[in-house]
Amino acid sequence: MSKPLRHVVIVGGGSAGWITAGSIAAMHNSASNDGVQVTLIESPDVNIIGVGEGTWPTMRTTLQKMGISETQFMRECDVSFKQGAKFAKWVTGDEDDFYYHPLVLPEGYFELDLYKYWQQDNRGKSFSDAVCFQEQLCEKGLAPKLITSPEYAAVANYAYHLDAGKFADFLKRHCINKLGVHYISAHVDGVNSIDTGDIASVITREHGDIGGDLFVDCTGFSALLIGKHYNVPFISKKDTLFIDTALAVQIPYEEGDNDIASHTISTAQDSGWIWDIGLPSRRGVGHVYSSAHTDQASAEQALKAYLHQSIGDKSNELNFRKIDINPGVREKFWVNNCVAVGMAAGFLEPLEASALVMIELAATTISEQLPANRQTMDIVAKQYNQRFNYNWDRIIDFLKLHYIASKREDTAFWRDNRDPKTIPQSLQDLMTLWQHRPPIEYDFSHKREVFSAASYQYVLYGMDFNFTNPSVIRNENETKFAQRLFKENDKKTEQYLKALPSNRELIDKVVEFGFSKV
Amino acid sequence: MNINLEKVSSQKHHQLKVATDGRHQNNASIHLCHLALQEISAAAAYYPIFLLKDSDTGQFQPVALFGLDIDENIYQQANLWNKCYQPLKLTTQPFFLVNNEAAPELAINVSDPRVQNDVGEPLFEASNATVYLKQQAASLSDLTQGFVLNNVFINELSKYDLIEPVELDIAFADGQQRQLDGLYTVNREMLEHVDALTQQQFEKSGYVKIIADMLGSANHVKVLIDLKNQLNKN
Repeated sequence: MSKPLRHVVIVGGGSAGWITAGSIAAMHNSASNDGVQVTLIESPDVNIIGVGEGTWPTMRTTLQKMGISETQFMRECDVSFKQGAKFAKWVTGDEDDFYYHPLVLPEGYFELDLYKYWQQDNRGKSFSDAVCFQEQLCEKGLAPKLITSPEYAAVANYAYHLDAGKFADFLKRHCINKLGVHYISAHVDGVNSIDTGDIASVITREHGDIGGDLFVDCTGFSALLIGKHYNVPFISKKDTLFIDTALAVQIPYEEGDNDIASHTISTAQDSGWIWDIGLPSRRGVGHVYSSAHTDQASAEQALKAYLHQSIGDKSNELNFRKIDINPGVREKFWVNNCVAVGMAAGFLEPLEASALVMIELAATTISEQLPANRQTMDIVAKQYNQRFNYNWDRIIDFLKLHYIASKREDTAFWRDNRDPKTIPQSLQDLMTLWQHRPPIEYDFSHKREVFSAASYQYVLYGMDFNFTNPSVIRNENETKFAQRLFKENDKKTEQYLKALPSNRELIDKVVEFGFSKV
Repeated sequence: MNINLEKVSSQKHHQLKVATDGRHQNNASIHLCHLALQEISAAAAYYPIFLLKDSDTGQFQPVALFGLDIDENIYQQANLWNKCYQPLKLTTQPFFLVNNEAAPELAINVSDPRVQNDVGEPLFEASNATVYLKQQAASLSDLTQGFVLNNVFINELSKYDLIEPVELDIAFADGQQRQLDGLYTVNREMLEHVDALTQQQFEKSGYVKIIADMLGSANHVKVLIDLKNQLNKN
């Protein structure tokens, strides 16, 4: 039982497989003889579904820990900078209706909650604009840093937009060439178990049985190990998050208009929303919708109408790729000596780019808590399952918040979304609390929360500025401090607007010159 | 300074002269200057030498520091400027090389106050280039080649992670303090860990001496502080 853990076998490539492989291999020194061995088995003919092209700022740490050069990553994966998301038409559906969820925390976030001071006197500014300089950087299409900034260092906190297919290939090369990950191209046809229920080895068509101490299921929707072998149920979340279908398309830039938006643009529709992500070489655009509320023809029509605004009649000639989204989460993620990462663990609509960040979180947790031996594995597994049940529930709450804070009454999709029967109790409780005080760190107090209270504030007050009852402000010093913080934000906004280059300009320079490591 | 470049031509510029007397007066208010690789050691005898990122490209370039503040030339203020090494980037002025399709061409900044028709070195005598003009052209070519050598040098340093940021915390006698950032130098410790073969190559390319001179030149920062303390007293 206490045989030391020496060999991790990852079944499936893609972002999930390679991020997990790279994280474990880098931390446990797989390239050396006494490190933990990592083997990744990838089917030669499975097409990788490129889930989402947006990341969270955590990706910078994830890549850095794997020893990846940011310059090389940006050059090879068609990467642009992402400074948050702009939500258009989510509140009223009017043409001028928008709010931002930036990645920079509100000014003085850890010292004073600015919400109530902004509510008392907003000086004509939205919440995100009053407390954070990033909204204006996004509106002006500026980059989050300078060409003189070192790799991974930020002037304004940032994440990436990337080509998921190129990203998986890039990670694969890095894992094999630099991190000592063993790569096997083979079909996995079955599993050999021992009497405790543990997996002894996986049976491959081309390379026979491959044994290991821990098996990571990164096989996506097919969930070969966690689903087919262990029969862990997949819990549908469609009752809460209605979106179940996506229509996706790639759009080349129009000549003379090749500005790259430095944020994800999410525009609400009658029965869903449209994502618009700018990469250096193209835009990725897609309509996600609820098939219970609209049909494919109408969804295509809505997408064409959206694209017509930027590319005119060319929007009539496009072919859309249809992707089914089955929103849901596995009941457990770690069983015996098998843990599921990526879509095998769960998948939700891409509203807040949670797919890659959940993979990173899983990969980091598994590497940091890698059980020393089989004896400790069950304890680690139990903690892991609790933690990730919590994480998935928080993401579901956060996504649902975007729908229930909306004021839209125009279609059944928006009205149904606010039916209390569709809202998790945990979120209902928080909404009740937040009627009397803003979201605060106490509400999300676990280590490595996916979304902080700041994210909830940006969305809640972006959508409904008066959601929380005004509080009585009694402390004069705090009021003065709040005024200082607002001024500080104004000053930073002015300085950064002057100093930062356009997103396109910096990305071109990264390709030409690259960032320095220091 | 206005820059108005004209391609040097014996027809158009046959009367033109460059005032070389006190010709560096224009440089009273510069606080640093780019250096070419081959002049780093010479410049290091007088100035602190660091690496600085070009604001346009983010690429490192060796620079000589003349002051501790923007537009401050302490050497000039202390009347030491004419006794110090003059970097190519300055001595080649008001001449520049401009890129043409075929080959780089010699150009002159006609807006430079040193450029006039009355005093100084003529560019041409009887339609022939003067020794002065030929020397300036040769220096410019040295400078251009030096910048290419710089890139090779910097790439080698980056490849082995030998560049590190330096933070200079400066305290003046009158109690004023200043922090200079954005400056970089070579990491001595990392340099010792470079493999033997690379060490040999560094020795052969002259990098070892250049790096040593550069590291040693950091002591001139103290000289600058002392000079400035003196100047402030007077």
